[in-house]
Amino acid sequence: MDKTIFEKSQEGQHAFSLPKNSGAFGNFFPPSYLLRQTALNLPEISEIDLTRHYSQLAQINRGIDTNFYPLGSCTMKLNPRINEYCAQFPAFTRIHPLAPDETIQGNLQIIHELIDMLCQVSGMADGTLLPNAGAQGEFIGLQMIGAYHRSQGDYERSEMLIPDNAHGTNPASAAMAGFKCISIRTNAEGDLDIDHLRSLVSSRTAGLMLTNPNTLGLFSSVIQEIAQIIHEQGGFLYYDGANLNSILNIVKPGKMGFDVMHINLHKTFSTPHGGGGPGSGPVLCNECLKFFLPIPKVVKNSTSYTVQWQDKKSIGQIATFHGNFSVYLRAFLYMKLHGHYGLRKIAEVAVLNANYLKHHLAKLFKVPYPQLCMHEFVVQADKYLQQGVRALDIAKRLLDYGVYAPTIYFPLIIKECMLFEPTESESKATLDEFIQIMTKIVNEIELNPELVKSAPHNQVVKRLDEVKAAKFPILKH
Amino acid sequence: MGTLWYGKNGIKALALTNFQRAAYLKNQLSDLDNVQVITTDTCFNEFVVQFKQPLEKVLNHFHHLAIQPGVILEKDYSSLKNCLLVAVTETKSQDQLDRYIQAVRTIG
Repeated sequence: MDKTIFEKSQEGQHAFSLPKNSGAFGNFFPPSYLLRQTALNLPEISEIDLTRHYSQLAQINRGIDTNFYPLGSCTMKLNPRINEYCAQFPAFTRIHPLAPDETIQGNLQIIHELIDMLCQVSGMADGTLLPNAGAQGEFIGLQMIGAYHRSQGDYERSEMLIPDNAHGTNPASAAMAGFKCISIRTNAEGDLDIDHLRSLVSSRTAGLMLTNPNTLGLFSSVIQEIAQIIHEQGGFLYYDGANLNSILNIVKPGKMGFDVMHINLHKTFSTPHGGGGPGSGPVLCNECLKFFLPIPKVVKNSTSYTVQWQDKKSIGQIATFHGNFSVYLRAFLYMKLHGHYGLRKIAEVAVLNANYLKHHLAKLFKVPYPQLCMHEFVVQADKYLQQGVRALDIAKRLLDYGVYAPTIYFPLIIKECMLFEPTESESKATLDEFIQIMTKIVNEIELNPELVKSAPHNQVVKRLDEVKAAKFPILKH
Repeated sequence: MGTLWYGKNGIKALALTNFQRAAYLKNQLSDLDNVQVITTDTCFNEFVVQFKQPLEKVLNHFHHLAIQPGVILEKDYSSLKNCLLVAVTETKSQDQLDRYIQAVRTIG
């Protein structure tokens, strides 16, 4: 590995430059008792060395801009450059969050229009862009469900039903929101086990969290029946919008019977994944729940937009100012540029690509759910366990071939699970190349399994001790 | 990245530059009749001023000159009527700060 930036420090070097001081400023100095006595532990490094250091680090990263990245459940699609370009306009980047409403009318209009556009594609009535991540959106949506029940004088609804194949954030968000998580089984066809659901739904049920298509990439044929079961018991149906990419403008969560949902903008609407942030996870809801949306809210008047900071029924303020404007701005641009027809084409091509890949990988691996999939699919990579090769080994070997690995060991209900999501961004040639690589790896397993079990071989680092890294992290220089 | 670009010595130089520009504006404003500097203690980059004229008139005047003069404090602190929180950064030149001072002088 290369040296860290701290190890490259050279006394006397520096990158910074500051505006020259005029004489008028030179008379002012802070009192000595306010000054720190020791210098910060920061490196001294020239601008060219700093630039090279981070350019080199960027070059050894794998990202959607450098490699095919079929990471299931993550929707690693192209981030259009036009969005990045427009989001850098000074009129967006240099706005102060406390600026008076009359000076930020353009931004407020974007917020209002984006909520409206998201409502159109989701079939919901209103929404908020405030949550700073999909998981925070989940938490807010669940808080709204809880607030509604309490507003009805119902304090007994303490249970949140969650499928056993759910994204991990679902039970985490529900627990944080104060609910007891009740797991619902998946049936042999990969859909929610309706009988199990019926046996667990009750007057204690606050809601059911569901993504459709689910994390196996399968669209539920009984979604309306599920909605009816939950609604008859007075619960709400929560839509985890992580898998929205596959149904854009084909079917709307609101029409399926969902009451409230979040959207991971970094998935469906192409905002950068960013290695963990900044993010944005808008929440949309139906008429029944909209009164509980967080503040502030942007209100459209006859000729202008204003920001409403007070609302008695609202669950309150959940983020600073207006959330991550620069992130959801990119989603706004993405939707404007694609239009409703374009959004539907995105979903259709994403589903087509996934089914093409699934068809070919089924020749190499066990496919537990052979029916048509939506945007992603699972394979069960246990066929080669006799040779000692696991899903993890195949994922590591893919890195040697210049491909990022699929999601592995999720969903938890599939043995040696590999979850593939090619997205609409990829060409047939890329998918064919990937199929060839997978075929080659399977040949390697049969001829020389050690080669796969000891992968990766041509990366900057070999196979890492992830347990040690997690248990004994080195977090500071 | 910004922190590394400034580095060990740059961060300190940046802070001093910021301090000096804020102190300059604060010092100049304290000599004017139609505004009172409320923050009398040492401050780093921002301070509170109270205008003699109604704030709406003050803001209109500044906006006419394409200056955003500060954050209105009365919304959050009811006792601070006609007060603005003025923040100065290292990016402000003496010309810009002098324009601000001139704007205060010419509030009708």
